[in-house]
Amino acid sequence: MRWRRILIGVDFRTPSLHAARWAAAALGARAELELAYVASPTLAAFDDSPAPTLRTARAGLQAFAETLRAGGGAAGAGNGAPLRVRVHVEAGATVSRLCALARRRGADLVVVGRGPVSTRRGRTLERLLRHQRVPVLVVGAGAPVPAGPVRRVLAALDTAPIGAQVAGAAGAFAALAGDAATEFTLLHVGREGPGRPERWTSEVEGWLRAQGEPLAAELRGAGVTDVARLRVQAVAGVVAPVVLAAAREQGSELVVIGRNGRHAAGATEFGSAARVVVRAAPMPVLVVPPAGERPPRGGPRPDQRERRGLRLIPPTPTPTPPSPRSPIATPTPAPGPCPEPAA
Amino acid sequence: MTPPETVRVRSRSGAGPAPADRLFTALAEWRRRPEVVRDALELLEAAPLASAGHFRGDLLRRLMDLPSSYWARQPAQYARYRAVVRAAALLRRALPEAERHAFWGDLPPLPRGDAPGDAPADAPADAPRARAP
Repeated sequence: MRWRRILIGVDFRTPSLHAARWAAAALGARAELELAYVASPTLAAFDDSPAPTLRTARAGLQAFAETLRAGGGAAGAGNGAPLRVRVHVEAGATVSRLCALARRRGADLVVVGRGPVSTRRGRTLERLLRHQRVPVLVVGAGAPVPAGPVRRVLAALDTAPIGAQVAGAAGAFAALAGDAATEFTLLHVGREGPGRPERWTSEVEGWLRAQGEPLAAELRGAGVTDVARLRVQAVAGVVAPVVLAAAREQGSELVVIGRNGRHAAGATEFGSAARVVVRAAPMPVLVVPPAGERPPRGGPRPDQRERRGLRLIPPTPTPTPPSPRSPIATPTPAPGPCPEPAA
Repeated sequence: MTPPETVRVRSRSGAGPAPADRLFTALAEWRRRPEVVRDALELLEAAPLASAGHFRGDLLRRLMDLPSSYWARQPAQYARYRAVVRAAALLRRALPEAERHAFWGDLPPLPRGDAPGDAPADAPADAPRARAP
């Protein structure tokens, strides 16, 4: 798993701008960043023509991209290469548009911001997490912008098959850091089985080490040789509080967690443990979806007017091919299950 | 760097003037929000890059933090807001590069830890505030 093309949802509010800065610093050195703004169709309806508003949004996004290029990612680039940033402006329902854009652009990762925790907000974020088929990185407004790739990663592993994907996603961050010392913790939280607790702990830690082996092999393949700082930890308890406590205690800069959805209440939910960690963690949280997951019934809700066949704005024109110095090939949209809104 | 301008307009919602820094703080709360936004728009129409002391245009940035749901309930204010955003964008082009980039910087944390838009704009003043779970 590699982060080559990263889609960042920007709505011009402080949390999303902060998330974009975080992504530029931590990931911008080896990935292409794509800033995406989705204009609310409700507000576009106040305009006789939405074009001027969308033009203003595009200009704003380009100005922000210029700010990122000027300094937002310089510390993280390391090799002095300028950030590669593109912008996209669309109108429609946020979740379905971001899903479609991620698929169309072949994004490996989606980044979004999160404001302070509130019981009345965050539904869009939760729907996005539920419907995206690629990992989603949620950056809280209070997470400090790193000076470069993250160095301390905590990956919460489940015994479900998703555990390997979570470990792989954590490894992708180590690959970004190169040979700089990256500390990994593979953490499993579960219920102790019958027998002595020490036995349960040693069995689970053995399983965790086995999970870490493919991760270490992948890192070696990526040229990262220093994988000695791999820790495994088995803790009995409730997942979310234990993960949060461990992340705080170890000073983790990133938490990686899978979303199984086994405890999801409906199409907009994505599982209680991941949900609590996303909402409460002070550091960024990477939510990894299960591979081959079928989309929730109905998929993300398209905008009413889109359902009636009215396109508010044509899709972003296909950008020019990447420059010769860009190592990124033009992506071929994967047949992802994230449905395209009705045109 | 030029110090941020201080623009004062007469508040229609209160007795005294409505300096940018007071509006900057008040926008983070939800009580009487339509009145506060109206005052902020009035100020920004006179000086789109009015500052509360953090960087040029910080008051507009605070206004940009309001949720779409607020503007959907206030279409007249939204039309004024759009005009202010466009005017500010034009003015920013003439600023030195550092100040242009500063506009997109982090805003200071909200005074009580809540984001703008946590409660509906028409909620009564004594309605319970949003709580973290």
